[in-house]
Amino acid sequence: MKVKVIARSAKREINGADPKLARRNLDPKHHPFAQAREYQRAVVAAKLERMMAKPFVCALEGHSDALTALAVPRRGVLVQCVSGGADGEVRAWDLAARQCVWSSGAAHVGAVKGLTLTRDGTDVLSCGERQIKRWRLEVAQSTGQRTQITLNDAKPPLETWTSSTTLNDVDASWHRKTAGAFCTAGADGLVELWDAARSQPLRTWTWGSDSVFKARWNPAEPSLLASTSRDRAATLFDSRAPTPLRKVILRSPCRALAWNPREPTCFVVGGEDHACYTFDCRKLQRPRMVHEGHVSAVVDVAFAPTGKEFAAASTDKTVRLFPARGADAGRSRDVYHTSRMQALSSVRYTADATFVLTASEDFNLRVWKARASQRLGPISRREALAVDYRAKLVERHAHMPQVKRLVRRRNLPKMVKKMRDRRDEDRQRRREKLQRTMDHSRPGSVVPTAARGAVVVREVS
Amino acid sequence: MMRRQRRREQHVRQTYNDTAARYEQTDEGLLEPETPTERTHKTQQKAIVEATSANAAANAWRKALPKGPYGINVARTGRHAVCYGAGGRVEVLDLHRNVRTAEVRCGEVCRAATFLHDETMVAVAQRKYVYVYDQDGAEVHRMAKHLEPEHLSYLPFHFLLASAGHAGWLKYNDVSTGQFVAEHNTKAGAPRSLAQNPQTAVLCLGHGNGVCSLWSPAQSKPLARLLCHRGAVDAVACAFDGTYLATGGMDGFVKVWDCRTWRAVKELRLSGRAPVSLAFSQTGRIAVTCAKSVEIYESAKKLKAFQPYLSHKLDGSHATNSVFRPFEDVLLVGHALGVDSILVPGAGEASYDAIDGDDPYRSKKGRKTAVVRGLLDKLPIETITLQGAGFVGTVERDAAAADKERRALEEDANAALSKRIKEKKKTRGRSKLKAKLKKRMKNVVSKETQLLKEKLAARKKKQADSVAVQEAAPTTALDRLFARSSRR
Repeated sequence: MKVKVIARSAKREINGADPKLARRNLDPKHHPFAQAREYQRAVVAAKLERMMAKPFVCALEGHSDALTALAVPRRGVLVQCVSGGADGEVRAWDLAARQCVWSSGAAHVGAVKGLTLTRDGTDVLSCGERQIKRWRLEVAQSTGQRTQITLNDAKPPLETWTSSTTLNDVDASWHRKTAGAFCTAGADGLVELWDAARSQPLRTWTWGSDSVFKARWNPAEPSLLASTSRDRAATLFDSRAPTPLRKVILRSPCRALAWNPREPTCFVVGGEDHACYTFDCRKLQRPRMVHEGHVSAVVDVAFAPTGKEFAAASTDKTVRLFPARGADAGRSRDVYHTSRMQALSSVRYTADATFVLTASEDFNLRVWKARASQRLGPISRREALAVDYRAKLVERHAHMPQVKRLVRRRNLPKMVKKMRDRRDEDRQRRREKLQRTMDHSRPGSVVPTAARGAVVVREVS
Repeated sequence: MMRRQRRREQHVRQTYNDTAARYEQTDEGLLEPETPTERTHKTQQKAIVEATSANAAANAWRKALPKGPYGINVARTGRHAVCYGAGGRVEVLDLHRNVRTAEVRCGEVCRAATFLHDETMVAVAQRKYVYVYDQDGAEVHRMAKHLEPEHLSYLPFHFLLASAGHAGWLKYNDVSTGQFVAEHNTKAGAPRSLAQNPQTAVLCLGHGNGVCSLWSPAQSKPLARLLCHRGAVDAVACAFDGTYLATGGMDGFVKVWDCRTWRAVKELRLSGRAPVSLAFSQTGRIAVTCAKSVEIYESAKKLKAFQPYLSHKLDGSHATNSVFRPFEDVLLVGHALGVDSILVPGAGEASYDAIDGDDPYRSKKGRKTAVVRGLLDKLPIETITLQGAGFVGTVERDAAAADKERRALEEDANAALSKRIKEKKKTRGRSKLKAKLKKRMKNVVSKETQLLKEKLAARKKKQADSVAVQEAAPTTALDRLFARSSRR
């Protein structure tokens, strides 16, 4: 008789076994309820994610009036940020130290309307009233652990340009070839192109006489610009051509504009009809995406440097983060608000896409995490793995009702919630009316329009 | 290009070998005749012990205990066992170190005992209530709601302790929160036996009237009832992979049921004996415990009279129950004089899972981690169904469509049964004027009727075509993506 019996030695199993090579037996019968347990784990992961969601980092105070503009360098120093106030003051901040490192004093008569940093990140361009001023930021590598910003205190601006009209926005070029160039958006429908070396604009465009809110350079194409204006238009310009390229007339005026840095054919505009629209500059007849969620006018949008999402600031006292594209891009991924934050005027991502900065009417600059539940500071490998695993679990079960509800649910200010509910009710009513009209009309005579289809009034070349 | 491909293949092979080495574990046990005349069941325990290493032979022992008879239960890791005596003595044994880790003398009859989430807690069904003792043998809890318990079972993934009481009540208690979860009246008197399906956590109760009923805490009525025997169902056991249910009745039969079709697939008639307990091992061996002996059969399909895989006599003692030790080739038998541990080659799973499973060699820290993990993954009671929790992760079918299909099936089934009713031939109203005129015009071919006929035919054809198109279009996963209104 052949006899063999399982014989293990505890000594070998415990002490001899390599801890990295843990014993596995993947036979499903040894893992009952495996899928049900994984689902349970996903629910717990979704709950944990919400429990850990503490997006607010800090509020930086110092301005003595409402904040109107923000700028962050596109490259170089991560910890740096510049803000402008309604009293005409420009301040530079060291985000890591959480302090103001420089103030211009009264730089402009009236509010600072636009702020931008030049391509190399050394200079700040600010505009207000009719003037554009250039300030030098002197960035010094400190001997300590991190970079510090030191500015030449109380020095007058390096240069000053005067425009023929009151200005709303200024934006410096992204490109090496046109490194000194910047564009301004002004009242009276003027978009001007400037060169640092000249006192007069290189080029002046007008198309309509209404105020232009924003003018922005394309991050990839050195001669392409876009603007939005009061007359509900989003216009494209070629810096080499004396006339604008074409424009698209929307249903309502758009105050906010941003190009996608990683997909530079696309730009997002934020409308006074509370929604943001992604357009492809090659095909303006129809927006690519409609991003909804705000209950008041969107005043600024800013893309993350990854190009995967953007932040939209609104006068409803919230900032929302939207995915740039995909099935979920129609609604915001997250919404940030605090009871002390008032109507927003500007929003920016830091260059590492980790933080979102907001400027609001309550004199404060706020720093938020781009991922609400992300833990700041170093984390152990084990924790990092656990975080990754939980994120993957949630992603895998995202369509399940229980997980979906947990992931989507946000506490909103009462006002926002009420207005959203009212908007939803209104939409539902309209939908029902349309359905009734369709039911009582000849088939095909009443056709519903998609939300995207109703955005554009016409395109003009 | 070629070099890169070769390198990649090498990498894949290396990874595979590493993984294989990682999973390579202890060999499975076996008992094989070498000549055609040899029979495995003739092998004596002594011969098996002599043929194996000292390590394995240490698992063959008899522990004599006073004030019997004793029953035995084993922890899911296979490392710890609890034996409970009618005389009121409960002992927790560490089978790796062969020592007693805790002892309780409660002074009243103990009818059943089971470990809770790990070996640090053990629940004992005593004369009146269920008591919980900790690793030092101290009483930590008295479950006063579980009255006169006869059988106990612990549902590890739901953290539920179930007791079947003398009055026929099946009660569930959540041991992680202490909440009383459910109580079901079985309405069949004191249950004779209790077993748990390890894959679905459904409890099988054997009753005195020959019925075996299946229970979930989420439903107050049994999930199913099986008429198994012409006598009390004294023993029930569920296969480790959940495919078979074995029942043993006072009528001297052992039956194996397929858990998918609920048909008896095998029957074994024990001559002049009745099984007192049944047990399945991880590899599918069945132990049929009768009063004076234990017979082990190779599998549910090889349940054949007089041809067991192994048999073991109890030397005059009367057996109470038997359980297989997980991950070991060992069967533990509780009887009147104490507890026996016998070797059954091939009964245990050779490889265990140390990450997500029951690691017999886990450390104290590993045990604590397992508790925390288990609590985080605790399942709701709704996952206990007859089909298991397999519905999690599947697409929920449209309820209306499923209902329609079911009804169609029912109608088909009923149509065959019901008699065809012969229609009466009625010729009433034959003499009416309208009917007469109609009859007269019946064969007249006019232009209008011709046109009408053509129109009718065209309409019918169109209808048939559209039906054919509708039938041809299969239901796809995309159907769910369209709005309900556009599906019309």
